[in-house]
Amino acid sequence: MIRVSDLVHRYREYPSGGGEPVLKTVLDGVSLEIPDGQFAVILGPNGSGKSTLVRHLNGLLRADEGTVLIDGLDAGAEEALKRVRDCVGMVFQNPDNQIIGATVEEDCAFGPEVRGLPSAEIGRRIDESLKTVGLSEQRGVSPDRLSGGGKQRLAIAGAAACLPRCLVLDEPTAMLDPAARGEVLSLLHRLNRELGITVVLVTHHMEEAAQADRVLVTERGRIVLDGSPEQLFADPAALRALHLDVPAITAVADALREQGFAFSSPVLSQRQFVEEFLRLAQAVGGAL
Amino acid sequence: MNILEADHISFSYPESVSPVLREITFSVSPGELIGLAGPSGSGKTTLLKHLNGLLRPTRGRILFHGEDTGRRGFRISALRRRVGLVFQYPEQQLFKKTVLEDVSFGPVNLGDSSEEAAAAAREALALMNLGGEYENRSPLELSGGEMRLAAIAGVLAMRPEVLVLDEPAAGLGGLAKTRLMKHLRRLRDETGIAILLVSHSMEDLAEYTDRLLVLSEGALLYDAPPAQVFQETDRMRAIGIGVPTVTSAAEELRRRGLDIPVLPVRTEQAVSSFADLLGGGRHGK
Repeated sequence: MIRVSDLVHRYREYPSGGGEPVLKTVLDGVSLEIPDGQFAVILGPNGSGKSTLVRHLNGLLRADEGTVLIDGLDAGAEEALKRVRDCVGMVFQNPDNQIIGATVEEDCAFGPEVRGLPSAEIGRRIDESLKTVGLSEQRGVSPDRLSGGGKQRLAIAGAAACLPRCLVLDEPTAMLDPAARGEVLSLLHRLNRELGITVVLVTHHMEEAAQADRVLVTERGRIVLDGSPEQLFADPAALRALHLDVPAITAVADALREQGFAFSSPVLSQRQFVEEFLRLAQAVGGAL
Repeated sequence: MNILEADHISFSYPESVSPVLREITFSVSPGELIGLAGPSGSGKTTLLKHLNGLLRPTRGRILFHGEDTGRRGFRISALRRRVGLVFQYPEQQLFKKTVLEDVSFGPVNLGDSSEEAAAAAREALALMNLGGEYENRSPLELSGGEMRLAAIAGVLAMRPEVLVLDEPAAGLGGLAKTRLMKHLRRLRDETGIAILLVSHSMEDLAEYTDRLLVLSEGALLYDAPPAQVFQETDRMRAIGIGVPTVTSAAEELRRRGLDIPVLPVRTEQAVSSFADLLGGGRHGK
């Protein structure tokens, strides 16, 4: 369980013309709870504080005010840091910045090795993790040889090998092509569903948000929306006010509903769209 | 008349066996808005670097207004200026105190007087909707979307004939992304500049480009309007880039028995073709 209470984060900005530094508030009193096993997505414009927020979840940053508790452990306390990082694994946007091993296997072993686990246990965890992300066959190759999606899956395997209860990912699909993005997303959903790992995913892709259990929207350092994708995407006007839009398939169903066709609000997946379409087509006795 | 022409270009890195680009031929005319798609590693960025002379083809030629850019005596600096290349996340290179100084940097660097450079910068900023009070602000105070526009203005200030952008909308979400794409289209409409852009969003490519180039393993698979290219759903999926969501939804409806001879690729087009299908039996089998 993640519990963030009244979190404030400020940093000093030095004016470009010189002079005294100014304090900028990036997080302005954020409170939220993420229960175990939830798949939560964080959306928000650039500079709204979402990356800063998730960096607090495993103690990469320290709070100026407020607390971050991970299973009751204070993520801001030095003595709890090791245990907090065992609980919460992080994956960043650019896989090239976090891959360090000469081979896939070696890279995946880094986390367990740092934790001083016995080598038999390390071996078991690597086998398991690489199998989960579909990289068992490539264990001996250099990570340079992997595709963008492969590297990102390796980064996830490395985090998963530490058996975290929660994975926090900061725009892990931003640099990936569509096929690779699909691979990474379905992997995250599998880890969530099959292993019960809590997932906190920062993204710009509305389609990724549509598949989550819960969507949080940040703006100017605050959480301004918090609900299910059904709630969020049912209100396009509220979304526009937050500079967000709806997934492509939702937009099509919305436009058809405006023309009088009885699509539900919102339609969140292609499968749902097709099913509702076929039902409507049958009802008018037309298209089929 | 073509501005730029790739004539059977191939490229290999000296140490590597397999070529990154294989026999690529296409041309760019004024006013075109061309999309470039392909999975990671298909050679997109390598191809872009050929278009303004950052890389030279191992075989084949790049022609600029019909002139071979590889021949002795060709001034590569002219090509650099006339073909403006915007890399991924270009706002990371904003560094001056004010937006105006930053956007003037390119022309100043190319030897323009500071007055000329400022005039070109103001013109470029206006085109990106960052005129007036924006010019004296620090680039770092802009929003993410505005920083991206300012960085693109920095390249426009050199008055290129072709603007080449590597994933201009990467990392932008929601309306900031839509705004940027609309901006680029308007820039083309108003100035007649040719634009070639890489994107991983099949929706954006379908919505905004007139012509789509598809690269796979260094070869050019398609050079056709997106509405045509995206009919090849299986092939597009097999190479790893897929098709717009509306296209794939329409394809599924077709598989389930609906009569959809041509798959829609743009949202508006999909809405009207779906409304027709639902609107009575006249389009049914």
